[in-house]
Amino acid sequence: MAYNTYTYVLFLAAALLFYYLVPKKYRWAELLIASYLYYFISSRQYTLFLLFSTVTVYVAGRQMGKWNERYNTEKKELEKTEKKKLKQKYEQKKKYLLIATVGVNLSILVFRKYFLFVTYNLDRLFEKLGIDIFVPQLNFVLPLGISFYTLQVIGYLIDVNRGTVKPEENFGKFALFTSFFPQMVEGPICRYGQTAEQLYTGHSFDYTKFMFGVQRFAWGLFKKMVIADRINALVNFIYLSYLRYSGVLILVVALAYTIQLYAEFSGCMDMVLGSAECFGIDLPENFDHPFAACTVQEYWRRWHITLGAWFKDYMFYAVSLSKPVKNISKRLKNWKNNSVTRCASTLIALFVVWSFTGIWHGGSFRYLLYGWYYFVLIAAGVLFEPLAVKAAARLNIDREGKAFKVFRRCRTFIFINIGLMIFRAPTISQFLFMFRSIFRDFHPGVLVDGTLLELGLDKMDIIVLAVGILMMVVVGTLQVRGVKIRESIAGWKLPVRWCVYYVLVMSILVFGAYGQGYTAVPFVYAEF
Amino acid sequence: MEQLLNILENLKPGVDFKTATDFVDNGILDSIEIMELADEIMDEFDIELTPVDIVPENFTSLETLYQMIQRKQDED
Repeated sequence: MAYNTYTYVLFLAAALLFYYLVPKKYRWAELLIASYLYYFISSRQYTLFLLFSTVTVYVAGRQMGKWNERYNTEKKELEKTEKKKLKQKYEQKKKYLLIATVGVNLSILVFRKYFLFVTYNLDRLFEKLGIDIFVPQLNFVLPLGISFYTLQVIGYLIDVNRGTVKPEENFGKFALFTSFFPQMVEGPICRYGQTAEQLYTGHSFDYTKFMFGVQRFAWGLFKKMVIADRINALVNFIYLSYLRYSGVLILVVALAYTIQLYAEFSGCMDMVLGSAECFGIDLPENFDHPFAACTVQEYWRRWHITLGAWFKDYMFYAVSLSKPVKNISKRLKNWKNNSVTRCASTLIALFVVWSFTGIWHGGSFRYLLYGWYYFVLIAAGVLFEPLAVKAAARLNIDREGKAFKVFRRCRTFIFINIGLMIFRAPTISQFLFMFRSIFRDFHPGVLVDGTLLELGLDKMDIIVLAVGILMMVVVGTLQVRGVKIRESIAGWKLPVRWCVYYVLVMSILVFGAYGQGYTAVPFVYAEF
Repeated sequence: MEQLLNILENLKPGVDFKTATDFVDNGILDSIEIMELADEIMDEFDIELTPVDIVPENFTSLETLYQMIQRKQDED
């Protein structure tokens, strides 16, 4: 039940109707029933995986909470050294339970997501080494949203372990936190402390908030149906017959895919956040105008924000401050104290984080390369920053000036496009071939000589796309400048306001890429 | 406090850390710089920091950072 289907819209409408009909006290229960119904309709028997994660993490969280309470009671009458010992005892217990629970939940994800990748590559390796061993190659169906809800429950458990949140006592409420239907398929990856209370509170119907939700949902649908799904024809066309194309056309398809993925994923988030807003719930933002970023690091603080934040809080800090990494860093510093060894722990942690960020997207070497590509860029940024500052001073470049900002934005945008070429290409060799092709037969004339009309799009498609992308750019620019668009529309006179709604809905119905001549395009991130 | 100020000024020259606030929320320090800072603090003050300590509340001002260091020294 994808977000851009009639069934989802009907399901959402029914869930909303019942939500506001039942007494406030039981509204969370209505959301829980709707969420599990949604999951069961979409995934049938795979609901058991979601239930398993929910039960194991709930039980572990409760146990950790009990140990926290016991420690707080027992420590009261103890001396400092005894208190420390007691703390260590409970910390150790919690650590083992955390490792076991995270291990079990991650194993399911890893097994189902990477089994084929591992066995296929093992098989190839054995073949090359001349070893005759049968390696079973099975491709498991991935339970819907498993990559997202697994991270969400692990985050919750780490927070309970760290003592930053209290464990949820009500199993039903915790089950709602792990399964809230608008967000559990593609995120955002929510933090318990940030979202849970909002889910459990029965919200009163607020017309303004409801309409904001509807608007946001419609805007997301516009981005998905009018821009992303339409441009998909061009992207698919060139990626499928990439051997025939070079130069400017490869640049066009690289840019087209960047637009497609942004329109699709951010559009999906608009639908998710819009759906939640209709219930009166504010989920965390997953996008913050990523193409306005001046550096690659900043880009990742603006693109898929909740995934980046998850890796930062639960992996980057933990790896950087871990004993083995500290020891390596100390040894390196003792051996040679320079700018590289001083950053050693950060660089090691960055490597681990970017390897996981890459492979999180799926079992493929190209995803690993995608992660390492960003590791290299960010590590280079860290290492060469002092040099860049010095060079700018020598060349009299104002690093805070407008011109330099524009240069940095363009540079980052180019890096992003290359990164997404790795992400989209089915294999690393195809990416390399396409990347090299950019510098072959570079004829800008193909943009105007009609070649573009032979790539899966007709004149009408190009006009619709141009208008759609322009609208997306204008809306984005206004938001970056601090204009609150929905609030502004709400201030307009009723007939004008409804004209805007009508135009938006009609443009989706008329210009949306669906029906005859178009293939339904599944949400990219729903497959992770 | 002076020692801490030196570390911060070496890490991010040009920022007036005596008056600056909300190092994380105001984008004065990013996650990589925070780790570099944590590294320096652990070396200079001989304390152990854990991920639990890396929260925006401890990076609100020079004062809150110094209080965290003192707290950690007391714990050890």
